[in-house]
Amino acid sequence: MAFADDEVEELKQIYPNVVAAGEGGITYICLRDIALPVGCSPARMDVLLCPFEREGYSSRLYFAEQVQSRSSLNWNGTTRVLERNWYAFSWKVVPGLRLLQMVQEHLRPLR
Amino acid sequence: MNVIVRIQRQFFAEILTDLRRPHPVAFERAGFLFAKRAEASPSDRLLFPVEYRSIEDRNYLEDGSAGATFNTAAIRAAMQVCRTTGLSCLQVHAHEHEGVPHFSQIDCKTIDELSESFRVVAPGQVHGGLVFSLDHVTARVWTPTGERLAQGRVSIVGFPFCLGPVVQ
Amino acid sequence: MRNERYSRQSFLGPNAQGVIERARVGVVGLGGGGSHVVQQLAHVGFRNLVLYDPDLVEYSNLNRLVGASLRDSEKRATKIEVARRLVESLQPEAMLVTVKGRWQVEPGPLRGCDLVFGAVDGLNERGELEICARRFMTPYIDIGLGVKASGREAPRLTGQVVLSMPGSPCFRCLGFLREEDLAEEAALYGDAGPRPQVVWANGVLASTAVGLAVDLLTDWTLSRRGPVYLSYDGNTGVVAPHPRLAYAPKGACPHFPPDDVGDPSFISL
Repeated sequence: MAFADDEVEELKQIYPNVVAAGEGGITYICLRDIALPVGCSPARMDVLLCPFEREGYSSRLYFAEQVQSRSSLNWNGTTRVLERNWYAFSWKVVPGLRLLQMVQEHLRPLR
Repeated sequence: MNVIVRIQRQFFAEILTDLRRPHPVAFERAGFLFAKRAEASPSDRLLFPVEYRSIEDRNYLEDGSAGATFNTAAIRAAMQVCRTTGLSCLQVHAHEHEGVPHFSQIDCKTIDELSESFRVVAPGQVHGGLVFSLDHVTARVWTPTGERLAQGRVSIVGFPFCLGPVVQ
Repeated sequence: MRNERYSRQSFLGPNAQGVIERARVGVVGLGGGGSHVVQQLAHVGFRNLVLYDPDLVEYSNLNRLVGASLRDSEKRATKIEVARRLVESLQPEAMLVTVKGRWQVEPGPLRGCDLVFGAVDGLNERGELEICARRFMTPYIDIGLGVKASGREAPRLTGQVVLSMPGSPCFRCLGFLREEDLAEEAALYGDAGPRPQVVWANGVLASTAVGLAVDLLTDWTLSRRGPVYLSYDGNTGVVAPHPRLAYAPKGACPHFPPDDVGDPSFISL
């Protein structure tokens, strides 16, 4: 699956280390070693964006580990994708967002 | 260390069809398979042939002492793919019989020499050769450090499924 | 001695026992379904097994956990221990790799399996297991059982045996895994509560699955040439091809391209 060039460029302005791979008919975007919002522990990690509908979520952001943050979140989304185990908290965002918007909306609860 | 080679049935059938085409001067055809890899454990290496390049007709040499002799252009083309993709390279040819196929001495010598060349352009990968029969596959492979892997399994995955023991 | 032991299954073919002994088979989930599978595999002669289960034997498992005893539940034995004991009682030279945990925690041994059985809970688990099996080009046979209560009518006992064969239609193609069902399960946070389970129905499914595996490996019927999706009606006792098979796509599976195998390869965007 291809992504719009302008959306990719916009994403890379903030998150330069971005790669993609497909699995099970879905293309995932991995943002490597990003800085999480202030107050999170760990402070940096890889995250995996699923920009397509999966398991009832219009998009989802998975984290390489569960994150300790200022807010209490329901980490209910353990999954295995692209030969790694990932973790997600329950958080729905509206569909139709650009890639960068998706990532930022999914990070918002960690602030 | 073991090598486990898995090739999809449909792909096997397509390659076999190509290898069985008659050639004006060569008794057998040959080609090159490029394989993705994985590890099941430090001692179990997995290989998945996913791309096939047939040797072009013009690159065969007339040679009564061997089934298929091909020129350096054929080898260079394969090495280029290997270098570009970083995949493992497996030279492949076919025998016209059912049952487990075996490499001849000439086959072994060819594969061993080719493996050394492929290690130069794609170090860090396993290289070698496969021989097909009409219903089985045998493998002969070398590790990146130049060890020949003597144990493993080769499977044709699909319908019918075929699990073979043979890594020669 | 070996010939005599397996003489009653010699109809599988002259090379069959060698293939069976050589095959490395994974069983993910050693509960009601998986324990049956393990028992049958050991009887048939499989001796190269990779077994996964995180759980301990509980009292409520004893209505169906093949090989488990009252003592196992009292001393909180692991399901892995029960399976190991069962296999080794029949195949003392078996090469067993056992993982007391979810396969996702230690996936390496699963990759080396020539064939995998899944007897897991939940559709998402099945989906993840299928993805792994496809990535490492491994046929995956799934079994599962369910009971649906329907008001004043008798409960419906149903199950399935489904094969995901690389190169052929996957669970999504076959309509076995559907987005709406996965979404519903995710909304329950994956916990649908204790699932009804009975030994005889598990036995039907496990037997069917093991029979399918032996056929795949030995090709003794000379007829296993296409997708397998069997549905079990536990009320009537009938196992039959699922009606959805008629709608399975004829071409290549769009969800798992044939070259999407091995270690994931990332491309820079």
